[in-house]
Amino acid sequence: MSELVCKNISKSYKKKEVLHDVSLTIEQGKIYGLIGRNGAGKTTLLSIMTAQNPATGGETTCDGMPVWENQQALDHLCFSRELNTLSILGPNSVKVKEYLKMARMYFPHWDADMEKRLVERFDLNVKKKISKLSKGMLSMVTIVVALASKADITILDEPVAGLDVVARDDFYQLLMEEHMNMGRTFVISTHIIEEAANVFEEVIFLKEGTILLKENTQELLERALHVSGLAEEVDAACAGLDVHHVENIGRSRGVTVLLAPGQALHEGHDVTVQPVSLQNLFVALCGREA
Amino acid sequence: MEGLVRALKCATWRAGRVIGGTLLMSVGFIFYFMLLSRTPFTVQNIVTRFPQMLLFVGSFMYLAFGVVDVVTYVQYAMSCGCTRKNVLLSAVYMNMLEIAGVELALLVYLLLVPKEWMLLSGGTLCGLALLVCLFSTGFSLVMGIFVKRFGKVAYVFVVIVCAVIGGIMGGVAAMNEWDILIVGTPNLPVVVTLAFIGWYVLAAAVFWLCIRKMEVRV
Repeated sequence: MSELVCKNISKSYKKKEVLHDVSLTIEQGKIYGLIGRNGAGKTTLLSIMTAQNPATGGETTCDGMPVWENQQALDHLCFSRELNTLSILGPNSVKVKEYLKMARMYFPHWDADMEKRLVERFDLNVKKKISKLSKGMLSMVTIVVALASKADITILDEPVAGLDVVARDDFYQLLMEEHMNMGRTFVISTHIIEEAANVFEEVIFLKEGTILLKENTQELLERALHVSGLAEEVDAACAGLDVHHVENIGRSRGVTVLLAPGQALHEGHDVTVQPVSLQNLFVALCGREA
Repeated sequence: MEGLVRALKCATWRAGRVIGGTLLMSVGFIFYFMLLSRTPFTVQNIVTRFPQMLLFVGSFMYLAFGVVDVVTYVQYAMSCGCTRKNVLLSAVYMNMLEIAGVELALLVYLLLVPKEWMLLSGGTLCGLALLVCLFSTGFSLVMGIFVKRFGKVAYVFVVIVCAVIGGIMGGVAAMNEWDILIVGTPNLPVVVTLAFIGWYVLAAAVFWLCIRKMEVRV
């Protein structure tokens, strides 16, 4: 089992810096959700973590070994990328079976039985070219590669994009089985937050190239509250607290509050307090202020 | 070392497919050109044409498939955790296997076919094959990177280059005018061979310089 550590990672494209001094530790045996808006730098960060993209600054290590050009470290990792059929470059021109064959050859712990089982379960036509697959089928291919790789740390970029609700449920079930039975670590980047919230042990919010927070999902949700009521009452109840996403409707106001350990709302005010879902918390922290 | 072994295994599989395809296409083209020129289908006519057709098809296939290999499999190998160094070594190994494949086919041909049916001597044939393959495989590494960097425009350029090379080799093959390629060099001087090896080394160096910091985009 392995631990992946990023230290002060930065990445620039020409003059534009897309990742700013990112430090992150992926501990063994956990399922992480990496959540960020489009262009936040999720795929870039995941690529750098798996040595598929060189960092401009900083270093990534796996069990203390540098990941860059280090086969021993790379053998613990799998980054199953979102496939792009629009590109004429890349593996689009090959058939699914060739794509899987290559993966079988390169991943040292590849589970051929699992590959076969998953191909049957997802009803994948392996004779089809990658470029001819639907969005959902493409996701299934990336899931097959990720799960059958049996890599200690498996990273999936948008694995459920295009999958219907049944297939998504199936995927999360498979993921949990692998996690429970094999103790594998998963990092999943997704925009479909709510249904994955129960699966993520920890969430990482990435905003404009920086890690906004990395925390246990349950603990995070326990300290996040939605407070609503008359504007004066809400302001008084939340005075001095970490307030986000202020919404005003007439004289009413709604805010999302992120309490620090030991903090609580000020008592004696006529406000309605509700729990916040992970998705709403993400919108509150990373979305535009109303 | 295990990573390199895996990369070489994969390269062997890919090289096998290219070599197999080249041999099959060579035989196919022999019949095609014979049909075109209404040459009688005798064993001698078919066998005599094999070496030049192998060089013609080989030069084309190794260039075209080499480019596809760089833009497709190289990226994918990296996305499956293969180091860039192993990608380079496996690419060179694959090219060497492809050259060995053509040379082996020619050696078998030289062993089986009567000398009077041959248009060129064994040494000249094998030397010429070496040069053609070194040029094509080296060129494919550079063109592959070119396509990877410039996309569709580069693809069009590569298709034109392939067509020109294929046309020259095809024309020579069809006319049986191999003297054009070996004028004054009946024994293929060492200098020429070294120059082609130098070309391949240079191409591999360019390939390495371009992939050593390459971003994976599949």
